[in-house]
Amino acid sequence: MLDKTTALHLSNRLGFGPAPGDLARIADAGLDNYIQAQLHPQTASLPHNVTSMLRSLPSFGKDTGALYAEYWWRAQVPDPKALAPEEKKKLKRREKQVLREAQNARLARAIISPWQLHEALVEFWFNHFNVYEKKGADKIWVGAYEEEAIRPHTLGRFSDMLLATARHPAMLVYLDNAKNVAPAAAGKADEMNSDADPKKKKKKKESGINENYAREVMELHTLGVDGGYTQGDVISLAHILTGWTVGSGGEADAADAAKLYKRDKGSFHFARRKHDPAQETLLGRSFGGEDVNEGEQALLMLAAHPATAHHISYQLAQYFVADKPDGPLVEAMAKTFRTSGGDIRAVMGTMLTNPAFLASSNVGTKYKTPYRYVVSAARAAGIAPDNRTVAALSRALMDLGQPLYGCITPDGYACTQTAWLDPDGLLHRISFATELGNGAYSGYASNGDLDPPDPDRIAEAVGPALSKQTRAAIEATQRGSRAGAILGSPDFMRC
Amino acid sequence: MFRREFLKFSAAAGGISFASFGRSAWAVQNRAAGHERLVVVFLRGAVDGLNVVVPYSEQEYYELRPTIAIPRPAQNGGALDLDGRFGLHPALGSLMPAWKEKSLAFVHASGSPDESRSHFEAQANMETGTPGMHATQDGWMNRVLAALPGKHAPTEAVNFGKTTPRILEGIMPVASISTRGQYGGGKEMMSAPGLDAPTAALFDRLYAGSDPISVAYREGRAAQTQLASDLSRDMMEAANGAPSARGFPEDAAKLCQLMRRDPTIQLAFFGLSGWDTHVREGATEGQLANHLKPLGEGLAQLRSGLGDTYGHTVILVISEFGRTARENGNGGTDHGHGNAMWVMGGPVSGGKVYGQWPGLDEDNLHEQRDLAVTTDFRTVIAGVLTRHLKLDAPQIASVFPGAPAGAKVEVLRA
Repeated sequence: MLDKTTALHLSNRLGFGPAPGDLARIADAGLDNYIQAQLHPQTASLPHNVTSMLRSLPSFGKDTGALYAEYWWRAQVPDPKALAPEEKKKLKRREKQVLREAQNARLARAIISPWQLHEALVEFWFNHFNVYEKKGADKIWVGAYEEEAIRPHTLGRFSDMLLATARHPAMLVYLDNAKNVAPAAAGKADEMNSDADPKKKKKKKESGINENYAREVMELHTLGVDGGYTQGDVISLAHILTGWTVGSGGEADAADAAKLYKRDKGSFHFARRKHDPAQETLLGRSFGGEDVNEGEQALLMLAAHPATAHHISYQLAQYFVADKPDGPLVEAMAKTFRTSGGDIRAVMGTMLTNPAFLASSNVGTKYKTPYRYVVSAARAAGIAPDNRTVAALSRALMDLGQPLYGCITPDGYACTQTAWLDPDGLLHRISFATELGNGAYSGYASNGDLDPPDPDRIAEAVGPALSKQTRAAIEATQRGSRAGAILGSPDFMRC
Repeated sequence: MFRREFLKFSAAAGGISFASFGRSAWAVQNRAAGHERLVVVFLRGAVDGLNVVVPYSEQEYYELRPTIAIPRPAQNGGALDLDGRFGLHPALGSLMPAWKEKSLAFVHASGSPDESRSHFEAQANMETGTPGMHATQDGWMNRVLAALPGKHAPTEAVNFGKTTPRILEGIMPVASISTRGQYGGGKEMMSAPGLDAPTAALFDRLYAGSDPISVAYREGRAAQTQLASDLSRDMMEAANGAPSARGFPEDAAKLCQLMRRDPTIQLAFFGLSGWDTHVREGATEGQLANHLKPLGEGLAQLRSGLGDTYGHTVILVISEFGRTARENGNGGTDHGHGNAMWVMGGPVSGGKVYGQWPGLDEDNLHEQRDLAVTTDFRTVIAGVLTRHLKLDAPQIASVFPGAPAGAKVEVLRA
């Protein structure tokens, strides 16, 4: 039988904090059993109300090709410019709905799934391999990206996730590799068109090396900024990855792009003629060849690089243990990463059984990100996620400065106190907490009134999270304000 | 120096006259600290300086950029001539009055001595003011705040955005204004919604501690109270109605109102994103032009809206690095090195493109691809801090430790 403080720590760090009854359940399970269960999630098994909610979302579970055909109207309508304004508005609304459904699917599972570690890792890895919903067709693809490239690999092999993200249309569009094309192919196109009219020539010229993905995959996804690569390596990798693109668009003006690639509409497409087969040197090793295997080998080399082991371990430890994780902890994790061939479950196991994980200096010391704050508040208040409530929580995340799928930069959202603790954001959280306490995010009672959460049940749910002083101040206040006071207290800002 | 002493004296002697305007105690005490203002606009993502301050007299420029070059002045869609050598992007026409009255200048081929082409690293370099030193946690604007004399008010530095940027991080408190709200009524102008009195009292009790979270809460409450009174008064007086444009011009108008009202505001910061033009940057029109237009309009808004305060304000526009001199295969530009810094305001000795121009010959390009850096950004800012905010040499050294001493590009009037 585990003490409640340790149970709270497990709930806070292996997930998004306790829902009513969780602390007792974790205490009963015990430390090792709980960690092992979380390391082996049965993600297909979810509470009935969530599976039926997910089933109710028309776009959920569709692959990028299907989404493209169904929702990316710019490429489907013969002449988008000729559409009546009313018609266009309808199509845009329908398209926007895909993003909303992705947000709902994510938040509902984060709030209610018993596989909390898996859900935390979904957030972690999505940020690690961030894509942004406002770039081209990513508007309709962020959800599919998460389902196809992130969720299957949260506790799997790092290299599998790296390859899955690298060839995913959402990433190819976000970091421009979809437009990274061999200079020779560009040159040929120019020659062919040298007599053509200047307008046409300009269009053909839109092909050539684009370094964006090649740089970020080394700086952010694998080696880290101090990982020992040079500008020359960036250029080499860009050449190696030429031709990795998306069939028929995914670009900002897909109607135009639809004419370029007829095959693999809205899916990964290797454009052999746009690929540079020349030999390139990347981190001292030579690469070349005419197919997709060249790029895969290069990415596998990056995944297996010792700098990657360190970089990933540091980031995991920062997310799960401390803003500035201990060197020995990170080194132990990096060692597991190296010896296990990048087995994320093994690395997580090393982290969770390291004494640093339970050290008192690392308990209750992380300042919650807005995402963690909102999800933990919804859990503590026992909010039953339905489409209406999670949509409202999604808007709250925007107000708190962390819109879901809305991080524009490829480094994703930070998870540290330095990044998020500021006076204005804190006041926003407090006003969110008081609204939640007043029932703004709950369902309705049978008489049609708002049904605010029960403050005693919340206080019980979060248990030792509240200090004695906070409990005293809350008990001294009128009952109607207590739920908001608990969730808006300084104690609940930390985990 | 004399001016500052004089102000101190007049404030001490004439406190009553300030009080009669209904200003808070903060304002009265802080007026003494001087009312020279510094506004920094950070273009996140690396703006393409070669298409902002266009070296139209260089043939290489047109050779390097066959599809995205800005045409020469007098041509269709051409650059706006600045000095016979450089021209301004035509989307920035709203800034020409400032150029002509000589309150706008540029420092070309400026930037960081650090060669990183990582957005995050380069932004950190420029915000901490200590390029290449990863250990620095606080930002140079926060250190400026600490160096300013007088009693410090909660609204001495104002950040437009939801989270405190690195440049303002540090021991000094900073007020934040959300940029999300529509510009309509007093209440929704406020960043965080105000708390009603009993709720505020409850949370004041909960956040009575000395931990960083409680401290942040109290700073937020103090700034909220101060800004709420500044803004609600102005909203009532804004008979002409607020500007309808979204984005930067709107926020610039907000800042004008705040600054005119509140003499305690000395520093302001805006971070604007959307400059990472890898693909289809455009030339006279297009992506970059669409971003430059509201930026120019917002800056013009500051010039007209600040009134007399413009004479006491220096506005710096900076970006983490420039972009490749050569356009890439996607009609865009990749991460580069040197860039153009913009300096605007009453004290500026403008109408001039400063800096040593390295040229665009292949031999003169940094690593054969980027505009070289011939002026360290810190020397320009140090000059502004010295002449404008009257910081002395040891204070400058505390703001930019390890910066090259001596050689400064002076962009302000003596």
